[in-house]
Amino acid sequence: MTLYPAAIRKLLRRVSVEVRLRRAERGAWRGAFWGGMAAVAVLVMKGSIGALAVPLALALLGLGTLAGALLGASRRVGPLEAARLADRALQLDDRVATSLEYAGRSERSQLVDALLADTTGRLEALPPRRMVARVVPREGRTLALPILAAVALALAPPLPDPQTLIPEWLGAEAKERRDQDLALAMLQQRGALAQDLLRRDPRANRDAAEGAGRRPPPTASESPALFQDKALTKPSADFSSFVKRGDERLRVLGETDKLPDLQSDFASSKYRALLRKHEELASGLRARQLSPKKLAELLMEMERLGRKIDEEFGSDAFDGYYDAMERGQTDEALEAMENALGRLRDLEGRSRDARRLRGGREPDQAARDDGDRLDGAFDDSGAEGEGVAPGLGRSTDAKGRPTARLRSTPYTSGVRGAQRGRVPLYETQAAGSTSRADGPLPSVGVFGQYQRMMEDAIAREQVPRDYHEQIRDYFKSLNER
Amino acid sequence: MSSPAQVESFVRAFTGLRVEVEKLIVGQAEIITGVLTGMFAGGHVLLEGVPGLGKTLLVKTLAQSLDLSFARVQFTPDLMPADILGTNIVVEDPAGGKHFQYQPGPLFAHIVLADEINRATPKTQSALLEGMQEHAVTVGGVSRPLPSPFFVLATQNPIEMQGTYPLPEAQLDRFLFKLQVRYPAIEELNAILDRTTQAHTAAVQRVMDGPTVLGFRDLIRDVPIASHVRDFATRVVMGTHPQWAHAPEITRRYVRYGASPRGAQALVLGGKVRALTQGRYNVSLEDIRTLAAPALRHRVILNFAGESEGIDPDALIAQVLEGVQAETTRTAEPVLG
Repeated sequence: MTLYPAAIRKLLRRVSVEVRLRRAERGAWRGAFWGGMAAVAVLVMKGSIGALAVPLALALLGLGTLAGALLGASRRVGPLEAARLADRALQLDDRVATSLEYAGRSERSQLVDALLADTTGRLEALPPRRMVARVVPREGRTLALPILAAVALALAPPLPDPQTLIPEWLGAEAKERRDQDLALAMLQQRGALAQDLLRRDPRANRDAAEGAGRRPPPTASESPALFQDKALTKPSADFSSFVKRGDERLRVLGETDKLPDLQSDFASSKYRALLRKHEELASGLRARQLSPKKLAELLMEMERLGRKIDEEFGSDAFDGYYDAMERGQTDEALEAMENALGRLRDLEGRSRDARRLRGGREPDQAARDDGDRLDGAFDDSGAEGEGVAPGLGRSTDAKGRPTARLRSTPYTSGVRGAQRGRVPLYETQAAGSTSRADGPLPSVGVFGQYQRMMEDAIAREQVPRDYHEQIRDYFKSLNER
Repeated sequence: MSSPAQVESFVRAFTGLRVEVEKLIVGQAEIITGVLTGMFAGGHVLLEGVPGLGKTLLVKTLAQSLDLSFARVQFTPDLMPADILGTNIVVEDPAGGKHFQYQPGPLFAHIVLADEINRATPKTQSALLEGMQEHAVTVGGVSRPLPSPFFVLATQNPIEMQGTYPLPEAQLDRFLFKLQVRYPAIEELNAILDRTTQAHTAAVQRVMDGPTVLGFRDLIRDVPIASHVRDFATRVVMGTHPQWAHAPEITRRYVRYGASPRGAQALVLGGKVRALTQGRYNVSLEDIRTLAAPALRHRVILNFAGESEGIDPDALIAQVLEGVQAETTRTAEPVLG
């Protein structure tokens, strides 16, 4: 039983039919496009398919169109959907949809009856018109392209070999073949380089050159600016460079029973320089991508630097490397190189330990530390940084064992002054602005000066940001003490 | 039972009432329609505008057009709840005995004009809450019903904010609509001058009484609304909530709290009144769209970013409407669907 008036029923049927027609149209456009694309693909392979290609392409085009139209028309349109569409198209202010919804209710108010009557009257008064706009999809707007391409291909002679038109990256077999060729070429190249390295024996060449007092000729990988250890040649290091030298120095400073070795700059450490060189040569490449040539360069640099630290750093460090290179195993060669780097690091550590503290009182200094000079007298005879504890003299201990004075107050280093009575207050002659010009400055003031200098230095110098806090913490701890 | 004749009667009465108000109020057709819509929907209306735009005159004229009691309360900082609700006073009976007698306040009127409501303290503002929502007040432990129909029209000035107490959200939510009274156009200003600077003053006639208003309120509630229109109203209200999954970007960025369910009620009830006044027997999407700003602008609470960037709630609601409308149209497109 139909609950709503015939006019509404008729309208809904009309809308439904119209919507399905439009959907069929839209589906046909889309189907034709994709059918056209398939037809183009068939016509491209006309040479292989033969005379059947053109009929097959036409059939695909027709089938696509038909399938799209059928698919579009097969979708049902609900009455509420149709009612809302009619309301919008006929500007009925949702009368049809509301009527449809309320007409089916068992209890209808007079207002609902009035609504139904009003809607029916308006519908009957409206002239028949199209309610659903034609919507041409994007595929319909570009349908001409596959059609034109298909016509052109149909008229043109068959293409010689469709396989050649397929991009190389589409063919899995071709890719595999190309990879195999490349791998073979690389293996051959590596083997040849390894043989060449073994023949040349660069260590022998270099040793001979050094023994003759000549500077060995620089290799391509040598970078004098990078590897020259200028810090070692400096007569003295200023505070700025001290600050710049990074966390290694700070770690040493943190150890209260040792003095900093200002001469050894972590930033210019050979190990670090070698690591940089390694990174530079590797350039972020994976082990397999590192060429044997670069590996050879790296090896030579490592060997040269190792020998610079320790004369005994010899070929045994690289045994694994040569074996691996001989076999063409880049991975193993890299691993051997890392081991050699570890050994270099140990050498560097031992060397640094040996240089670190030669502080303390030396026998020739003891005579100067008589009664008229109090503990903490400044010793400026030695070069700064070479185990010198300012005011504390040199130590005969090669390991740099600190003196008792230093052990008790390690942070008084650099302060020349005198103790007043039993109060551990030191007047210094350090330069600085005080109330009395050129007068002694309390050691606490020195710390403040150092802190200001530190702030200037880290702002001026290129100190890594990560080290800023560590440096500040260190100076803060000085003040707290 | 409602009937088309009643609808016609309502339309005539509504038009007549508007004509009477327009005898004294020049222009402001939107405001007059909004006030009448609010009254027939059974809600209260907040009028916001700078001084001198005729807000108070509008309410007084409306009260004169209706055969209903009218009370005006000028809200000031020293106004106390008892001043508007009433209080128990000691009276002496003929026998010489004394007893307490309740003296009703001005709230016991059909139409109450709360002039400059934001000048009273929150305590006094809150005294209106029960009356506006429950149509009853409780004094001395006794609940007393207010006359029906009961209609509060409040005014507030948006610029003189010193010494004022902005209405709390709970109080604002009690108002069905918040109408913003705009400045008159040049022609309207000329007409105002003509009417107010001459000796002749138009007389306003009473065109409706209380029972008629109540009858129309029942009629309005019978107006059908389609489910998709109701859904649209709900989506608009939910679109003001930043927590809602489909809320537009502007809501997520600038809104702290969205409109309450009273906002949705205001949309639907207002839509029903508007439908009848337009000669329709059903609520349309256009009704909801038209009433969205007056029904929701005072219910949307902006967050700090919204306040600091001076986001206009009307613009926000317009974007919400746009988003919901686009979604509704997309889902209702049968060909593309």
